[in-house]
Amino acid sequence: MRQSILAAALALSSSMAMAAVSVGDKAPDFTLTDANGNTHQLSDFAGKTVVLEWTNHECPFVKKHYGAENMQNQQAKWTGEDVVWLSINSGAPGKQGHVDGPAALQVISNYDAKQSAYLLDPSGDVGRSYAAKTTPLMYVIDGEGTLRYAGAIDSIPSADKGDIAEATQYVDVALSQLAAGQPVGTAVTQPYGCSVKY
Amino acid sequence: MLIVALATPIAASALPPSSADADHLRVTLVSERDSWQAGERAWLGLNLQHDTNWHTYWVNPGDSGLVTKLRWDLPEGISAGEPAWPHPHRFEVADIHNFGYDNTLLIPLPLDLDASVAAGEYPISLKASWLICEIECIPGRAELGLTLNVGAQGAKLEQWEVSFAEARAHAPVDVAWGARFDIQDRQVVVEVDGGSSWRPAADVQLFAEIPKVLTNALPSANQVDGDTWRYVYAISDFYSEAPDQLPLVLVSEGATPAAMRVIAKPEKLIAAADVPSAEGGLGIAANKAVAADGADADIGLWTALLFALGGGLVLNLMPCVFPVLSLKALTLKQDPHLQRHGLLYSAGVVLSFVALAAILLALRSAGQALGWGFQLQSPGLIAALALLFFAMGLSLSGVISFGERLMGLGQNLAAGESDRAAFMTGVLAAVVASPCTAPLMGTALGFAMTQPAAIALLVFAALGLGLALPFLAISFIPELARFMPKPGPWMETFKQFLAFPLYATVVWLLWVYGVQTGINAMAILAMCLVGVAMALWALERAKNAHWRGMWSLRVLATVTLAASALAVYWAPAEPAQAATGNSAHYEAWSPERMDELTAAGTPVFVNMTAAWCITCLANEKATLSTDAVRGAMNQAGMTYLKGDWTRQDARITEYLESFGRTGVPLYVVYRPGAEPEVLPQVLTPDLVISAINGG
Repeated sequence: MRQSILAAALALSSSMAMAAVSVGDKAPDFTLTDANGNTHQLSDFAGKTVVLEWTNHECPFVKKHYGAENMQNQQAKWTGEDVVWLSINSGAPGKQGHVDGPAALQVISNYDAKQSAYLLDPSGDVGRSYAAKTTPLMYVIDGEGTLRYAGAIDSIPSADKGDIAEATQYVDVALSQLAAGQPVGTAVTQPYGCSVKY
Repeated sequence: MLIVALATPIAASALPPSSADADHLRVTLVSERDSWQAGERAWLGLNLQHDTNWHTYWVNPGDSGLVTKLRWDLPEGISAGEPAWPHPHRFEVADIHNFGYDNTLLIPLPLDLDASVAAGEYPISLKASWLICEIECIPGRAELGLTLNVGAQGAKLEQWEVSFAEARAHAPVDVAWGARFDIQDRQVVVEVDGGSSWRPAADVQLFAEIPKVLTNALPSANQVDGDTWRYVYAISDFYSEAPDQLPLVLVSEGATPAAMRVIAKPEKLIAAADVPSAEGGLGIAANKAVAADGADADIGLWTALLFALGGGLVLNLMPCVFPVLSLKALTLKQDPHLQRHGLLYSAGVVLSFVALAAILLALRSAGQALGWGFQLQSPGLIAALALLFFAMGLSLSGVISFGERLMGLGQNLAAGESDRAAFMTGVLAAVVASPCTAPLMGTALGFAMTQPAAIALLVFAALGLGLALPFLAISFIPELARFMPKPGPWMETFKQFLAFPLYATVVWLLWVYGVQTGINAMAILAMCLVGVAMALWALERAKNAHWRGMWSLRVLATVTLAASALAVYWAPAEPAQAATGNSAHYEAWSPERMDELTAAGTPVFVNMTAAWCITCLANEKATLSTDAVRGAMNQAGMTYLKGDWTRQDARITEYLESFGRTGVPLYVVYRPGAEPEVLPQVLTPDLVISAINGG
């Protein structure tokens, strides 16, 4: 019986490696290298609204939003409004969707993506510190560094491009509300998609 | 399909094939029967045949994934109901938890046929879309078609009969059990009152039908609290607000049925921090772990019943049962209703065990920290047993003859050849046997204590059956009785001789009583025994006395018995120490002392004992008190802690339960840096020394 308690405790502590972040909390700071080899630290963007987008270009759900240009359109719209849009790839080397710098540049050009930077997190440390389990997974962080939105890109969980038109674009709505100085109405949603390949 | 389509009046081109091969998945739309009646619910099924290691998802897919979506294209008058989703399985890769299906399974899909639907053939089509993943994921879709025959109710299609049966066996059954959830800071406590209604095969896994409440990972703690199962989960990373209700699916593979569905309502519950870590074996975190003595803490029901039966058999050899059995053996040979009495005896034993279990369960649920052997923890019961056994001994010795009225002593009920006597002998055997925790019984009882009431009762019944078995066997196969000696004048001698085991038992009970209450109370009880002897003598004499003498003798007997009863009732209960033997080499056990020693890295030997536990005393005498064992303990720098359970001690009960036991003896060796090692219930010096030395 003692053994089982120990086993349970061990199982618990190992799963604790995945730290949760909550809306209203301070977003964990991180430093990552982008596809061009430049380093970015989250705290460098203090004063600006930041979007974090966990991505894996081989995931059907990511393909849905890039293939329909939903993601690029939102990237273009909001980076134009002085929002920093960071795509993060936490795929481990050898796993599906992992990219190095040149491969990431290829992905960006293939999709004509408009993010501010495509960050590489091959160790998965940043992914884990944000409890990122799905792609796509979206976070919105305000100018004070506080997490304001966490969850899905939109309201219809599917891999079907046809659903995008009818879906509520949660990130777009949250960014609009923040820009208008309003509280974020729907601040937490259940993300859907592929698993992050740590 | 083409041929079918051509043979029917419906548009053949409109109907897609009934089966499709997609990436890593073959999907097939089938009908359970070859035709259906208008007005009834028709059952179709979507059969999913996954490639090995690939899975699709349940209604709540977990951390990633997507539920399989179904869109019907149905003729007028036919409408689709909710799919009967079989319970999900848990998949885990790198801390990402998903709920879904693998291998081959069928999802039953109901279609309600209006009473107005005319007989004929109807084209049905279903658009299914899903996500199938191994680690990587591939979305898939298919359009499947089927011709639904409406007319008379047809036969089940043999090809799919097993698939539908399996699917139904795994579809959660809606039940109205009490179920509650309480969101506390970053944790969620969930309670389900399922214990008295459903017997899970092993662990019970919980799946929330809706996301955003519970984490998809395993519960951090779970607990069996009477018939209530309690789980503590971390809150979902994407929790935003408490739902009005939380539909839960409880799954126990191998149970029948395998899954239940309850609706939990929000309610204030105990703090998550107060729920002990994995205690019972609910939830997979605590499952699979094996108790230190090698006995599986989650032994299956059948194993437990078998253990209980074996334990009951062993009880026949116990000194505390033998007197009753030998009493009965006296009359067995002459009994003309052997089989009936054998059965009645067995019924007596089994019913007593079940009654005992019921009392134990009632007390357990009343929150009392009680353990097996609690009867003999009560001095009143000890005194009553001592008086009863003494009276029976006296009658065997010939002080008073059987069959007369005997002032309500149970002996009268148990003696003779009547049906009642056979039954009461069984009852008596059960009552006397209860504290003898033979090896094997410990596990079965430990199992029973953590189980729903119905199962605990079953285990106890098996225990009783084991005890009754030899007797039952003789009554049905009288050849076995050939081994019994022939009746004759020797029987009176033998009967008188049998008084002595009873007297010995009385001495033992007296001693236990003395340990529990002190020497003064024991002297009073001893006086009461004299009183009983006098009362019985007076009663016997009264049979042959003239009327005045008869009445004075009877009054004397009554007064003596009443005085004895009152004396026992008011006997001073002094605090007592049960511990026997040399006190130099051990300390009293307490959880604080234990923690202190283990924290300091001192090796510890724990002995949980009780004065009324003969096995314990034998072990202490023959093993633990020997110079060899004491030397080995000294050499290892080991501290010997002794816990005394002669009287109820909640902390010891708790300690016993932490090892899955409900009785003594329990021997545990703690060595620094090693798991606590539980020793068998019967010790030998070699075994103990090797355990002390880490062998």
